[in-house]
Amino acid sequence: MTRRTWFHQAASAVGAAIIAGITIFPLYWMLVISLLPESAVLNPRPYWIPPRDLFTVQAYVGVLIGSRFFMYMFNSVLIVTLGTTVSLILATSMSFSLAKYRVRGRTGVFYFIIWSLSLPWVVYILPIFEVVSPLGLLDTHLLMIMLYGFSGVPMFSWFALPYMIDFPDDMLDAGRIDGASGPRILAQIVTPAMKNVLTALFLLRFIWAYNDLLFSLSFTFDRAKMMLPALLELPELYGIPYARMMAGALVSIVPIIALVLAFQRNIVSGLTGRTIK
Amino acid sequence: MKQNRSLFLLLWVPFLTFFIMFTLPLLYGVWLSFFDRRGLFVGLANYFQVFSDDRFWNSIGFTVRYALIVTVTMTILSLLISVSINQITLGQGVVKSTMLIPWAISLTAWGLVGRIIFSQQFGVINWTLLRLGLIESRLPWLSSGGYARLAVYLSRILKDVWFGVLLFLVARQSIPREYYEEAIVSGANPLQTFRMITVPLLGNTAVYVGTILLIFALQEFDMVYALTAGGPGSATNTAAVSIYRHGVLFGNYEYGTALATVWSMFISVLVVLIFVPVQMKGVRR
Repeated sequence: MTRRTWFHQAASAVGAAIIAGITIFPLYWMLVISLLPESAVLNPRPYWIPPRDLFTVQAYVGVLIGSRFFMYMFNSVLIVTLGTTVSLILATSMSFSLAKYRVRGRTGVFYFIIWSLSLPWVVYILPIFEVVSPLGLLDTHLLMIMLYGFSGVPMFSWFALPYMIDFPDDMLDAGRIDGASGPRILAQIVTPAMKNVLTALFLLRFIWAYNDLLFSLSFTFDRAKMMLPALLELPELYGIPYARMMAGALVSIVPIIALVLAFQRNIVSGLTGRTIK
Repeated sequence: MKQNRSLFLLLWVPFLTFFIMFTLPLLYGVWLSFFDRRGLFVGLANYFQVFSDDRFWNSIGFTVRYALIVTVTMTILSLLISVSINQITLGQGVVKSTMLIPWAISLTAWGLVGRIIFSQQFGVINWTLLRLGLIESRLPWLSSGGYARLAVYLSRILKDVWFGVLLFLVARQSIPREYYEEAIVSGANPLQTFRMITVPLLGNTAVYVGTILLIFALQEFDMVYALTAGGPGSATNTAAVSIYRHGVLFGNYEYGTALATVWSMFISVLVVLIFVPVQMKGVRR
């Protein structure tokens, strides 16, 4: 190796270490705080590593055993999984029809999609509350699945659209000659061929729905209560139990981090689809 | 006939699910905003109240300022970071993996850890700044309006800048290598290459990154709610937090829906001016 490339390698490694450090720090800090007793968190001089005589898993015990955290977590995973599935089915079918059928008012639908994906979700909260409470749907799994299922339709049909437009027409014609209906062509020809794209979009939607606070905070209270609102409720009268809050947050993050690291390639392609197209 | 049935199932059913679940209630909300709590028609009374509600206008002002600051900073910063990461030869894979971590963490958890990191007495930021001699006394990060706003900007930027970095990095690596070889042959220095090749070719990506970050930033609810809950006072109240507070916490449905209507009109103007022209580019070609 020449001196210059050697220097470049060393500088690269240092740069990479700095960036990796910055990105991981908040997660690391959650871990440190969660392994301290509450009293030691409130120390003017922070511990960079939990010292051995203070190290405790009390916070995890408090969160996981002392509360209904597992139920909230189960609710979150169940609702988000089903909601994401619904979203993807609806969004895929909508973008397929917009790309491959002659639709009257197509541009109008596009405008509607862009408008709906730009409007902040908060503007829907109050009227939906008014509509669903007389129907007895508040705090039910069904409502949450519908909310997370249907809310993904505009954005994800928009994300899938470029891929659908590029889908080769010959493959569709083959199905049409066989007399297959639109939904069948979508299910038997398009979906298998676009497996990678759809996986990527599924993961994106799953992560976004799992991480959403607004809907779960507004519409779940007990039976269908989800995890993130439960985290915010930990603060108690005598002060904020930081260690427990961080333990809960960390437990809630673990499934997502696992998913991200396992499917990194898919997620990157899902995120970047529209930019490189 | 058959074509019509397919189209109904494929297009209009998904469309209607969203329309019935979200758009119709939204319109119903607009209707509700003309009534008072007892269900009496009051015309524009709620809106007169909205227009004289300084706190709400401050929250809209803050949201717009916040959205612009974080979007512009993140777009520029992520372009610069991605170009530097592109130079990294050793450890680029590691960086690409860890970059997804802040992006994947919920804004709620991010806000909660921010509470302790930014804490005035016990936070690691104050402690570090103090040790480095950059400050003489601990800064009131979350208890004074100005610092709280800064804390909110910083938290959001540190979380989502990586999303932009990733998009720019992929776009940068899809630029043909020959362009850069050509530039070296014709004697361009790195800065010129960056200005003449990288920036123009990443223009589309920048617009895309910018608009998507803007859409998300205008929504801001989760992180602020977890980090400052809109405080101190109402210094970091975003429009979403404001509407949520009035409608859900205080139970002023009618007033809350009037606020929501004003806010959706405002966003709709942005849709017409910015989002539609940018997004339609990808469809028309």
